[in-house]
Amino acid sequence: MHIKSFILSIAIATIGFTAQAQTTEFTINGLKVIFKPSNKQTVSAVMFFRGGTANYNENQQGIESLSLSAVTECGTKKYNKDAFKDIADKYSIGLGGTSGYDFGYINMSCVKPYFNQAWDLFSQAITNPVFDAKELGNLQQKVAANLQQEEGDPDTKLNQMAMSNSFEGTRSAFRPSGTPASITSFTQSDISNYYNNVLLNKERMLLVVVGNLSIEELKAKVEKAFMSVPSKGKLQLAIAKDYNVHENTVHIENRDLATNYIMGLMGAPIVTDAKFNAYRLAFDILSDKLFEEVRTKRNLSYAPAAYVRGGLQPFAAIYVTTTKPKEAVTVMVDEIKRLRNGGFTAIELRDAKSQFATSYFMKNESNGAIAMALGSAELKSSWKNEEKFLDLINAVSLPEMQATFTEYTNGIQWNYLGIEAQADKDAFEKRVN
Amino acid sequence: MRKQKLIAAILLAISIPAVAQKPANFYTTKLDNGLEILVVEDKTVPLATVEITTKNGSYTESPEFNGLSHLYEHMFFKANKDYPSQEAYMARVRELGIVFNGTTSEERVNYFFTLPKTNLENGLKFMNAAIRHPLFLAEEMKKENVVVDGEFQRNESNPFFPLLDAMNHSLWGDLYSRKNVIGDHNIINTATPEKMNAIKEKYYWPNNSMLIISGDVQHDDVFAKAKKLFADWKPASFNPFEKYPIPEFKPLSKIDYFITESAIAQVPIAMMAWHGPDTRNDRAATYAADVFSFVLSQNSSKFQKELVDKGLALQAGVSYQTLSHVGPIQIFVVPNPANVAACIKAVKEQIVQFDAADYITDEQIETAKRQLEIQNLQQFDVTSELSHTLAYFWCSADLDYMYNYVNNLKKVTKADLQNYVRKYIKGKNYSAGLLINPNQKTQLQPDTFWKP
Repeated sequence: MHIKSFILSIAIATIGFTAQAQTTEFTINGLKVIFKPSNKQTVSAVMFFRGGTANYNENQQGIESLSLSAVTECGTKKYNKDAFKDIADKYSIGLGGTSGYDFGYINMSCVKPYFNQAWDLFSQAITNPVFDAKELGNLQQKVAANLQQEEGDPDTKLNQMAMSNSFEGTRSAFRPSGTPASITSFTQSDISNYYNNVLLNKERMLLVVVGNLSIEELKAKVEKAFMSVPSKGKLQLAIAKDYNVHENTVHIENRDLATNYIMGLMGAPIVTDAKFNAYRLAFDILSDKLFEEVRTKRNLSYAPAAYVRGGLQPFAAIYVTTTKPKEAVTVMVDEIKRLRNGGFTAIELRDAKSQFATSYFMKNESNGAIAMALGSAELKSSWKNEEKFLDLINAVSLPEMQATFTEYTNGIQWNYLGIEAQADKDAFEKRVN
Repeated sequence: MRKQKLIAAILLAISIPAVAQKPANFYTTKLDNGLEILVVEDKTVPLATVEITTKNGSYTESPEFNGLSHLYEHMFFKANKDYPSQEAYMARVRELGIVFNGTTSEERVNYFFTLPKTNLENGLKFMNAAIRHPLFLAEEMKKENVVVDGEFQRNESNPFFPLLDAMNHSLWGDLYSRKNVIGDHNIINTATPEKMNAIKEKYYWPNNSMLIISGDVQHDDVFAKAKKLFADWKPASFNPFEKYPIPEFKPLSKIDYFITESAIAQVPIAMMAWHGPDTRNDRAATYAADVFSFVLSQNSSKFQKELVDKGLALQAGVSYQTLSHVGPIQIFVVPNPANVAACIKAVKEQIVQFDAADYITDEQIETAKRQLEIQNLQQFDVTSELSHTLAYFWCSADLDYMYNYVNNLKKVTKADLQNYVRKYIKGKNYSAGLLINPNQKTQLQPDTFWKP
């Protein structure tokens, strides 16, 4: 069909559609698939790989991320790098791969009329990558330079400090994207072996597709495309553990910046614990409080924030950039202390639930975001938890939220990147309890 | 054109190419006071986004006002006649389940609330109070000046900032403030309510603004509600851009090579920039600019083959930003640190070939058009973000520009691309900046190659 007609036909299909269609799951030849129909223009597919930093050792930091990136950058048996990228350009197909702490993924996005071409590239990349030596070398140089550049970004550096200081000696202190030195040290066989022997395993993989497709069409494509993917037996995956901090610590790194970057890590329950949603709501309220107390009332910062991360290594964080670190940190600690001591109100909880609902629906406007959310939820527990997210949030009570916040905010592991002379160690030692 | 923000009305424009057509789910009206209203119906999720955009931004700023469009944007989220303090304002934000933000750029300031559709009327009332009746309390301003300066300091902490700032000085000269959105520390820190009111009196009128409502709404209902609230907003008796004309940027008078040193820059980065077309004077060239940029980003382009595939550059790209007052054209290159001099030489050789008959293939042109068309189409997926893009193009062009965008792309020929290159890039004066840290400067000796 002519391109013009393709576009027109999908455009008409868009107008007036309403529903959030039913999500389903099925398994084909041992590969689990989650599918959500959608009438949006974009079709998104994501192949997840379980494990993340648990799949490699300290000396291999970055190997998974580089392998998954190389899958879509360095050619396949059917298409060399140029042929692959030229097809992707021709039909405006987005393809990429990366890995984080708990899982890696290869994602694809396209418009419906070019789904066949996109699926061909996506499935060829996953099943038959060749890791061409020249292309892999170019990619390694590019990734290493990006990582080097990120060292100059204060937020990236601060995050790295926080993770390595709080989780020293564990896989959570790894840098999933690697270091310039580690990335350039891998050989072609390192990457090829890692991808084929560690990642390419049906038990490790999960496919999520969101788009305007029929389930029969998708099943047929999955069966044909991934039949050759081996099965290597049941995986022994790491189990999430909650995290708590009881003593304050501080790590300071001097850097001549226009403002100082500060992050404090605290404890958190595991994502499958009912307390987790209570804790998220509490930190949403804390974030609003920090905005009000640090920014609005005292103009100590443009960007105070508080949030919770819910991977296999859960934690909570508070963050601020400021030229007055002593004052800002003191206000933040005081606010946590106040909230710990029965500071939350029913109105704050009601409003936080309402804002969560808005954010949740905003995420559900994008097929790419939906695919990532369903897959991430499935790897943590079940994709169904993503679909019933609002019910789970609405079930949180004020006493539950108050108790969870008090249970997990006992100490703060501070990290400071900025002018050392402006850092006041006494402020960082101030306790929340 | 900003790659991620362009939007075009692709739906019906394809079938009726000669006439500007808005998509079938777009509805427009205009109140008697000149306030344009655009409703985009999309029932995907039960949300509504209420957005107001005003033609304001750094292009309206003389040096003594530099950064104050942005400060004004911050003051929008503070006390107004219905909410006497920012604390009260924020309490209402939470109560209505609002996810909010505002942005300031060269030619657009926009404010937006996304909230449950059931709160639409309250959201419109909230917007009405904030946009029309800000109080600019002296005490709140004193605090917010420091907060905005804190945002500035965050920008300055990024290694790219000094290069971008030096580039703005070189490109825009005496009119630097007109492109320097973040502004000037001293101007921000000494800003007064009087200056805020001066901006309000110049630009914040219904006939210099557009209200965009998108999401799970019904257009007749929105029009009725908006009319009830906004119809008594008094219009300006003047056109701000006639009364306070934006000075025209003079063509660059020389080729300027400069080096920016930054101790926190880890990898050398090179930028070259030209004065490009704008939507007032040369719309045809703005379409050619987009196609040209997308051709050169393709894997098959000579630009990528010679620079990236040969290992001279780790990244290389060309971009154009659509604006009504001189959109810049930029080449951005991350040279391979082992081959910086050779990379820069190769970039210059590419520029010389930009208008050669065999530099670009017909297939690459068709691919670029298709990529732009698909990218535009995909932007309809996320309606809450679509509103911001609509605001951008209303400010820097008009809605017809968007409605006809894909049709006009399709008319672009290879000759148009050559003419664009000859008119704006090849043989023209430009600014070139190299970001480098002091150690790299010693090693690389950039004076030996960083020159015209």
